[in-house]
Amino acid sequence: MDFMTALPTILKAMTMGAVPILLAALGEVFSERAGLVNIGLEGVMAIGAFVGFAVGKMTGNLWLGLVVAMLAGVLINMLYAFCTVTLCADQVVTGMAINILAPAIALFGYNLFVGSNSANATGDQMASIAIPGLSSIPFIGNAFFNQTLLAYLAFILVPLVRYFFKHFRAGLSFRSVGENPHAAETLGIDVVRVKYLACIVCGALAAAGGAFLTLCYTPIYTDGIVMGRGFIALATVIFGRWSALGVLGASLLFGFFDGLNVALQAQFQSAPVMFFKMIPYIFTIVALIFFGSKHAGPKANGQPYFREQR
Amino acid sequence: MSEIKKSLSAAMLDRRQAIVLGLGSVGALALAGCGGSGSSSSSSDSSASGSDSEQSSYKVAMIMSGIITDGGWDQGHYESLKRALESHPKWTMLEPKENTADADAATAAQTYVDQDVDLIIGNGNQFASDWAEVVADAADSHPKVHFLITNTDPTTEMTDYETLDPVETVLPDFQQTGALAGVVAGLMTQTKSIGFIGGMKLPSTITKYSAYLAAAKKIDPSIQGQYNFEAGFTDASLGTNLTQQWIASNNVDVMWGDASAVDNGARQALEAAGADTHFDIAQPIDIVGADQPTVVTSTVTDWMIGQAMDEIESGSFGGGKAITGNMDNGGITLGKFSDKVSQDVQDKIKEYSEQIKAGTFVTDDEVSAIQNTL
Repeated sequence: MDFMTALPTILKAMTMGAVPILLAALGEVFSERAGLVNIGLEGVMAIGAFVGFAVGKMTGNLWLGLVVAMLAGVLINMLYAFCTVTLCADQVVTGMAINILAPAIALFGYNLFVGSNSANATGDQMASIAIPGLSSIPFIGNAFFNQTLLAYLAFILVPLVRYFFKHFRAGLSFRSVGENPHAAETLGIDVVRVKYLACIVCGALAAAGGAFLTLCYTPIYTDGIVMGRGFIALATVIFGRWSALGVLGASLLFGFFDGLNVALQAQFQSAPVMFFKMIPYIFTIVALIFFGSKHAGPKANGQPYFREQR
Repeated sequence: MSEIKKSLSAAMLDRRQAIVLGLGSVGALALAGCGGSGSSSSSSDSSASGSDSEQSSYKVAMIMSGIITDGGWDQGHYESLKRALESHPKWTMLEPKENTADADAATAAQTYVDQDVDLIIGNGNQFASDWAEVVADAADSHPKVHFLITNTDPTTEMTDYETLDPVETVLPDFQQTGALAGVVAGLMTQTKSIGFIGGMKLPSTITKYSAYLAAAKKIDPSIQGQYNFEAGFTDASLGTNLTQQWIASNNVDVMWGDASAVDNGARQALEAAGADTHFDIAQPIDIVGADQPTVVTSTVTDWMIGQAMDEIESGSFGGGKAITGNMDNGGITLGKFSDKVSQDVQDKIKEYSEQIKAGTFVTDDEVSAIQNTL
């Protein structure tokens, strides 16, 4: 394989592949910073992918598709919030239930929407916007500066999220709730409200990540379109040390390995394809081994919050 | 006291968790079940079947691995069934069972057996291994029930069957399909570089690609082929990335796909590279149209369901025969051409198609020679 010839395409695949993971992972950062491990990202992304596709197709307005997808993501994540925050149910179990329920809802909706009308099977896509000058930079220009507006927004979100957690009182409230909710409560922070807010943001961003798949990547919805990206987003949050910048780096790294996997598949055709397909997942496992210490991350992460508990 | 409260609280939580989990699971199962039938209930075919079942002589049902709107394998089967129904007015269709997992395949078939459905169709060779027991039981208890399994070679894939009396299979001529696509690719490529994406490394996939490349090389021996046989059937982004990589590194300008949703992704990459210079050959349904700017034609497979219906009506169905779908009996055809295929090229395709039909365009040896390199 001529690596330099393949590199621009690998980098393009990297940025395209990183965006949905980045959006979902940023949502998860909000959730985990507030002490909620939401492993239901995969399901929320599936809802976002379908609703974005269907509303975009019906209305012809892809941005409306995105907004409705985010609302749908919030709605489905409220189920998670109610179970884990109000009922104090186990977060992992509830997340898994979301992962089973949400794709089933999406498939049900898809069958209603497309039915026997195959004209509805292909949707519309956002156009890429090439930034003059920058998009012509060799190797990286097309990858980073010829993207859809949604992708640019995802990357712009990274410094905003970082700034929010570092410099905003609300950001500090999120962090204190994730570290020690009882102490936060004594300081006057409404822990339950913060956790619900975290679920709203998480649902919206994860659904936006799913919607990216159908509005910017490919103009179709298929059952299983998320392809494990929700779980990879979870891993990138750990690998990225619960910070927005770290998550960006981890998402790009995962995207790079995914792009490399495809490039190797394309060029070494007689080699076992499954070997190359394992590369991004091996990376994920390795990342979890080295960065998945249970002592890292918010101290109260994953623990139910009982207001009366001492 | 606080310990007691904690214990009580924990007990309450367990109950709540159980309720939450129970409701979630039931909801998901119900929705998944409804999802499978939702699309079908909206179709006029299925809604008619219930009311007409008393008047019709025969009932047919299809059990599918995917959904009828997947734009590929399952939709191809569904459209074949609809075509057969149009020419067989005595037959009515029951709700197709979509998204049927291997674990549920036997139960799904048994449901139709219990309804005395005359013809139960399984759309893929995985059903051959799933149905051995159902077929054996039905042969005794429901002798009027027949089974048709597509893409299956009964001599190698149904050796564990106690009886093949109520069973037939359908085997398209994959070599003809591949050769047709290869002729189109060979005539349309300007860069002498063509690509192929298959969902799974099956013998049929390899035969298709080998015939595809062999036929293209007949047009121009300098043509090179790129392939991937294990792209799966759902990850459209893989199709996009793979095709982009081939365009960038190998200058591929014509693609043929056998991987349902992944093919959609490939078409995205071709369109981005320029729909006037990069072309796609679709499969297995005809999708040429304004909404598919890169698709120049389609290799269309008909699953010969009409022939199976005829045989059931005449009482000659069964015995483990394999119905071959080929260019002679309409099992394999080329679809419409887009306006990007000039009349001159269309005439050549027609001429070469006759040779493929006669078996003189590519020989078995030429196809095998490529097969042996894969």
